[in-house]
Amino acid sequence: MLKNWLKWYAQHQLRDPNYNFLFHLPNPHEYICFDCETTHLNPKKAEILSIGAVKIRGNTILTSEKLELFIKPKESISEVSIKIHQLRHCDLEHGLLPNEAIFRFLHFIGSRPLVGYYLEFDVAMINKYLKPLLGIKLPNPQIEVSGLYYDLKQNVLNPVHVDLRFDAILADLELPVLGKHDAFNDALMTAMMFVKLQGQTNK
Amino acid sequence: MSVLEQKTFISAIPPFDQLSKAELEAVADAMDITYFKNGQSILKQDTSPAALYIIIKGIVQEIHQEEIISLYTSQDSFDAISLLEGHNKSNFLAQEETICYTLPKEIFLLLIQNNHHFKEFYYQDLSKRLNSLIEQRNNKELASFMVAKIKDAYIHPPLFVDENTSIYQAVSTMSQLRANFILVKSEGEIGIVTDKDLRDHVVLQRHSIDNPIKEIATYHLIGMTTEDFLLHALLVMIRHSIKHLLIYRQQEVVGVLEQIDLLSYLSNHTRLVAVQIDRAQNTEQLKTASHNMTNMIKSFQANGMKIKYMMQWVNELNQQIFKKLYAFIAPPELLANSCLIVMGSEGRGEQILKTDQDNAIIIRDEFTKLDMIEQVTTKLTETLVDLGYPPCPGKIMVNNPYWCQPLKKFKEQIFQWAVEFQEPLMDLAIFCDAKAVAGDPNLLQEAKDYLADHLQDNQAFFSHFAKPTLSFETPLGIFTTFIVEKFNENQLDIKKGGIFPIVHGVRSLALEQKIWQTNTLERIKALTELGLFEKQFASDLIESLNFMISLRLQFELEKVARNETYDNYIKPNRLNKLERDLLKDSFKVVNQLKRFVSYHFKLDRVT
Repeated sequence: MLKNWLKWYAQHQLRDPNYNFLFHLPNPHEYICFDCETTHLNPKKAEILSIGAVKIRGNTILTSEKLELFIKPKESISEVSIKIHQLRHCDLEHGLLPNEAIFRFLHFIGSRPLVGYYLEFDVAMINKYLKPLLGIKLPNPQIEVSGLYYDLKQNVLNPVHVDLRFDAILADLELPVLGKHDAFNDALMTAMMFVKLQGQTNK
Repeated sequence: MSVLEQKTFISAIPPFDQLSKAELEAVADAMDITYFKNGQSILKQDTSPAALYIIIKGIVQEIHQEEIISLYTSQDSFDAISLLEGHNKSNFLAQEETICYTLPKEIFLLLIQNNHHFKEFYYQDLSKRLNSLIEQRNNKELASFMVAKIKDAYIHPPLFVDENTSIYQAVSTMSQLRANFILVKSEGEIGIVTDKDLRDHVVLQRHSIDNPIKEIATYHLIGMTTEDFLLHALLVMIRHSIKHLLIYRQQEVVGVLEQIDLLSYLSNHTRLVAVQIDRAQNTEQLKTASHNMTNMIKSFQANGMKIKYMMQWVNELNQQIFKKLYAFIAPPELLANSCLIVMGSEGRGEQILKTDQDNAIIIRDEFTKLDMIEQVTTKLTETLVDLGYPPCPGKIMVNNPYWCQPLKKFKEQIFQWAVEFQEPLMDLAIFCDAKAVAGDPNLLQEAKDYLADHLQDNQAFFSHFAKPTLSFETPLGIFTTFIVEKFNENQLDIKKGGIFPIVHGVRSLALEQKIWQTNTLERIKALTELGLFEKQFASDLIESLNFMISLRLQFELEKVARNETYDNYIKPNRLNKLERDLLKDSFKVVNQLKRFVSYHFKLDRVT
């Protein structure tokens, strides 16, 4: 009841009725897994450099319907962060304007639940741009992969330490590591974690 | 970016490694990733699958009638056949957790349609896999020649004139149309007039130019169809020493194929050797041609020519050399009254690089001038060595009086082999492969007829004859590892291990069934027609033999390049995975044949 009210309230805040679809009922078994590369680890200071997202339908990751966006930053990127995401200025020179990227992202995700690794950060980054644009935050349900993993590994009766580092989860789930860390690869690996975890929790 | 990862993963897997860059891109863009739990069904029987699955990680079982018929693991794909047939005959089940790429059916079928490497790969019984390996070493130019049909070459339009047209009129038509030949129809027979006919008849024999053209035309032309292979056309031209072929489509003449147009398809070496032999006026010129053959073979190999055609081609040239050489050396009298035969691999048409000469001369019984013979045979053997055919260590050569005898002596020898089991029976085996290359072929035919008449249905004889099939262990260990000679650079002798058992096993069966073809592939086909071999086994046998011969050639050529003498050794650790797998499969086929021969001739009862 409260959930519905919150949803109604949020939809009420939406400034552009063209984006009503964000509040529609999603297709069952469809999810979006996404990841952002940013200039900084603090969402308040950071700018988005790239967004990678992929659709999941049931047990299939639809890499054929992927989204990979590069955004031209307003401010110069620090050297430290270049080393991490390996996105140089010249890589982003022909990038999109942030607003356009956000709109394309919204059209891609629709109302599907969002899946991610430390998703909170990525959602906060999107919201930072979205709120001034449409007056809302992302209304989509959110699923934290590290949370699913923790639930699977943790034993209530006999608590253990669960290593929640990205690479540790990947290795433990025996998933292939896709070399380079970029937004899309990370989203894809996260998607594999999610699909596999879903399979295991349903067992 | 990760499309890049997908591409690297996919591009390393045959047959995707055969795709063009654009095709690979399309594949990478279209693929999805699917996850299956342990025990989860992936494809159900009697459904129509929508995608090709390529395993990234995991193991998948193919189950048919409650029996696991195949396992697929990382980099394997399934199930192409179901996609091609639009219908799935087996169940596919994840044996452990499995992650797959899925490639939509439409894209897969498009690739099958447009990329013939890709298509070849998926028609995947043993023989096809072997073929796709050979195609890997492809070179566009020659490979396209190998598959080129007559219709792909330039065919001159059929230019007919009335049979009663005067020679003068006909020739002026020819020159108006810039044609090198003209066709006439006379009494329902098609004839051709070429520049050569004009020279021979009109100029040299002063044939009147007012006479009708039909008088100087050449009739009984050899015809082929537009769907025949160009290579075949070339072989026919060489065999009959002709330069023009009449080309038909359905029953209708559509044109004439000229040798020069055909040759323009061939690389220089190839053409060179054939022409050199054709034009050679003395042994020195033959020698040049003969030595060029190694280069020609190298270029065939580099160009990925199929071993079968390579053997045919080399065989044709070798025969021409022998024929010419014998005509140079033997006086006409001897030529008319004897038959030069080649035996062993040369007789079977399976020689590529020159190996030991195995040859003999059968002399007509009535021929009495035997004193001239020794000189001829000595010269012949010496010249052959000079031409690059190494002497036979077993002395199966014409300069050995035992192998240069009147027909009646040969018959006596055959009688001793076939009826009295006189050893060595391997000599009879070598004689079985005999093929006439010069002189009167009827002499050999008569000797073979004699053999046919005196072969008895004697189990013991055939058992002894077939016994050497089992002489050498197949170099394949229990865990399908290769057994190599550890003290000899980890090499293995592929002739003893694989080629000889097939050749001799098939030869024994052929002799028993009185099949007189000398070529192993043809013998296998004949045995299959008699129902002795299953079709699938026959094709596996042929492909295994071809593969082992081509593997041997590959190593031989490397040795030639290093100026070493070549032998029958190969190094399995130098092969790539596909080649190793194929060699293992080939050795399994050798073992199958050995079991067959052993059972058929009851070799376990022979000591």
